Parts: sequence; C-alpha cells; structure tokens
Amino acid sequence: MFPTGAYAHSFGMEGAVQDGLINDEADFRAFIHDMIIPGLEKLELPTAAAAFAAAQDADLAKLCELDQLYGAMKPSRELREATARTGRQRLSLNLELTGEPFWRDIEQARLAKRLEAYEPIVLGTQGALGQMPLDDTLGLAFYHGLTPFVNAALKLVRMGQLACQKILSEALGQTGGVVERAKRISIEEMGWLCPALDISSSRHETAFSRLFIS
Amino acid sequence: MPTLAGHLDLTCARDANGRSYLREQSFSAPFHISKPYWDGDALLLQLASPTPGLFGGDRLTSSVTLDEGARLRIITPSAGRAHTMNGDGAELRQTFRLARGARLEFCPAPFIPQRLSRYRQSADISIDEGGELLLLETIAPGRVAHGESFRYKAIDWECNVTYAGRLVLRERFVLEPDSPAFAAMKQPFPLGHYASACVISEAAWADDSWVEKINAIQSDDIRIGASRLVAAGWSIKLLAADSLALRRATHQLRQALTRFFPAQDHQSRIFGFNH
Repeated sequence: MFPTGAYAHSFGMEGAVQDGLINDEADFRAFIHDMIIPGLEKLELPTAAAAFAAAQDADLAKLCELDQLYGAMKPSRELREATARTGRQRLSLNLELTGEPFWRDIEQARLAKRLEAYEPIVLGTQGALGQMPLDDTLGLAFYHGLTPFVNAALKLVRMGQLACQKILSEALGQTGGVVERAKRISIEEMGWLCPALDISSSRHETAFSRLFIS
Repeated sequence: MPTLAGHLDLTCARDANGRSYLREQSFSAPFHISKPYWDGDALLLQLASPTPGLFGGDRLTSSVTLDEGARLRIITPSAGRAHTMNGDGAELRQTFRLARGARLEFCPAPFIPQRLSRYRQSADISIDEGGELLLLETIAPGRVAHGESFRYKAIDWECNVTYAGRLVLRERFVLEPDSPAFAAMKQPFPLGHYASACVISEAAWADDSWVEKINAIQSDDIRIGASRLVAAGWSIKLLAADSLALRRATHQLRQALTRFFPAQDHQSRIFGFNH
C-alpha cells in the first residue's frame, strides 16, 4: 500500500462524466475497457517496463529521457500533472522507506528539473530496485492504473460498490494478457490516442465546479 | 503498379525588406507547389498533388526549413487520400526546421484513408527558441459519402515536436479499425472526424485568454479542448460528428488563433465562398 494521493484524482474521468461520456454502469464498463485498459497497455505499462530496465542498469540518464518522453506523450496538462503528483509522492515514500542510493539520485535529478518523476517511471523503478519480477511490477502498474477510476466512479456515477468491484475484477482478469502485450511494445512504438478523454480532461482544467484535482 | 518516390525540399528565408521568399526549392511528383505569394504577413504557398492520392508502395519525403525570421504558410487545395491497397502501404516522412523567430503555419486539408489502405506518416519538427508553429492535421473516417467509414487497414502516426532542444510533444499511435482498441475512436461520435493542432508560441503560452474561445466552439456535434504542453505551446484536440461540423470547427479554431497567427482568408479565394 502506497499512499500516493491518487484518491484525489479521477485522471480525466470527472471530465468524461461532465461531457456525457459516462452516465451509468454500462458506460463506465465501456470506459474502462475501451479507453483506459488500451492506454495502460500501450503507454503506461511499456513506460514502466522501460523504467524497470533503466533502473536495473542504474541508468539515470535513460530514466530522465524516458520521463521526458512520457511527459511529451501526455498532451493533457491535467493528466500529465496528476501522474507527476502521484509519482513524486511515490518517490518521496521510497526515499523515506528504503536506503537505496538510486532513489536519492532520482530525487536530485528531479530537483535539478531533469525529470518530473511521473508515476510509471517511479513505479517501474520501484519494481526493479525492490527485486520484483517485471511481470509483477507491470501487474501492479495495471492495478494502480485501474483503481483510481473505480474509486472515482463511486462518487461520480450512480452505481454501488459491488458493481464497481465487478468491473474492477473483470478488468483485472485481463492482467496477464495486458502485461504480455505491453512487454512486447518498444519505446519507439509506445503510444496511444484517445481524443475523447484528452478533450474531456482538457476541458476539466477550466471547469467551474469539480470534485477531483484531475 | 509503379510506385512513386517523391520529394519536397523547401527553404524559406527573409529578405532585407522583411519579406519571406523561397531561397531553395526542389520537388518531384506527386509534389507540386504553386508560385508563392506574399500576403503581407507570410509567404503563402499552395502545396498540391497532381496525382489523385497515394497508392501502395509510394514513399514520399519532405523537408521544410525556415531561416531566422522567415514566415511561411502552407496550404493544400484538396484532401489528401490513401487509396485502396493490397500490399505495401504508403509512407510520408516529413521534417520541419524553424530557426529563431521563424513562423510556420501548416494546416493541410483533411486526410481521407480509403478502404484497405495502409499509411504511415512521420513528422520531425525542430523549433529554435522564439520560433512559432501552427500545425493542424485532420483524419477523416474515410469516404463517408460512399458509405465507407473506418474501412482502412492502418494509420501509423508519429509526430515529434522539439522546442529549444526539448521534446514538448510526441504523438505516436496506430489506428486499426479492426482492432478492439479502436472503440475509443468512436466516442462520442460513431463516425467521428479527428483533428489535432499543435500551437507553439511564447505569446500564446503567456496569454491563455484565447482558450475560452476554443472551449466555446464545443457544441452537440463538436468536442474540443486545449491544454498546455510541457513547455512553449498547446495541444488542441477536436472531434467532429461529420465533415461539415469539422469544417466549421476548424475555421473557428483558426479564427481563435488569429492574434498569434495572423491570417488572410484563403478559403474564399480557393473555394469561392466563406464560412
């Protein structure tokens, strides 16, 4: 359990609700399967995998390069900053909880503005430094990528906890396949287009009222 | 079927009077350029293709360089097309280099991928500090009027924008309508037209009051949003329910950016009417 502050973010979902993309349980299920899971598979998990490899080699320069690449691939400021906030929190906790000197190197690089410490970068690094297998690290990244939406759905959509848990369970049933496919995506190939979510998130930045930071 | 390996190389410079001109130009089919025209703010260049579109195996490269202070506006008179292909796809590789104080506007007409077509497009855009870019590209679902939507095989897209040596935007995606992952592209409009604009401008970065105008474009048949990139510019995404809505939205989008990218109305000169 890592208190990264993800509960304060809907990662674009509140904007999607405000834009009428999600009105009920069926819409939420489609949102998770059509917009979120493919994005995790094609961008977040490959990024975490590349960070995992860079951290295994203690290659800080590569980690910074990946961090910059990931930031450039998130065109919505709100989504980008949300992953930077949770990533920084995860970095801070790792600094406190472990004596691993590479975390200090990363923090110094962050303070020098060489990287933002986006969540997939820090999570991939955490897996490598914590001696976790890559598959488990990516499975964890998948889980962490899904749960904020389920938490947000309880507040944003007229549906109960059981329905949310069912949708989460269905999604987690895909973990093995998603992880396998994500591992095959190279740095050059990783990327995903979901304009409806980008647009909703962009509009959420200037929304008059909102529950979530993102 | 014979294939094409066309090229386009342009260098735009600024003369002693502040006017931009083509210092170098070289092109081969299917590229063709009009005689450039100074519209009082920028050099207007019409980029045309004498062929009806791209066929399998076609390989095109283009390289556009703007020297310091040069201003170039490239328009296209008609939609770009990728025709039905049975083997190799078509490919367009583009590079743009903008020196300090240069300004490029490139808003090509919509790209229409036809049934079974495969198309790869890459753009590598490097902008020196103080350079400005307005890039607006549009992808149609296909030949909608022929009942042919999302029947293409694949669109493989890559666009990298570097400002002052820093990567500020990378768009990388492969659209495959036969893939389950394509469902996201049909939200909220089942036959949605997609447009993406990249606005690099220190002035537009500093003063974001124009974003209100962008947000105001949204309507029942248009979804649009603008957001800051990591530095120097903005990404604007647009989805339109049909081609008429797309045309209306892109026109309004262009108008919202007039303060930073002054524009004459070329639409009426080309199409004989205004919006």
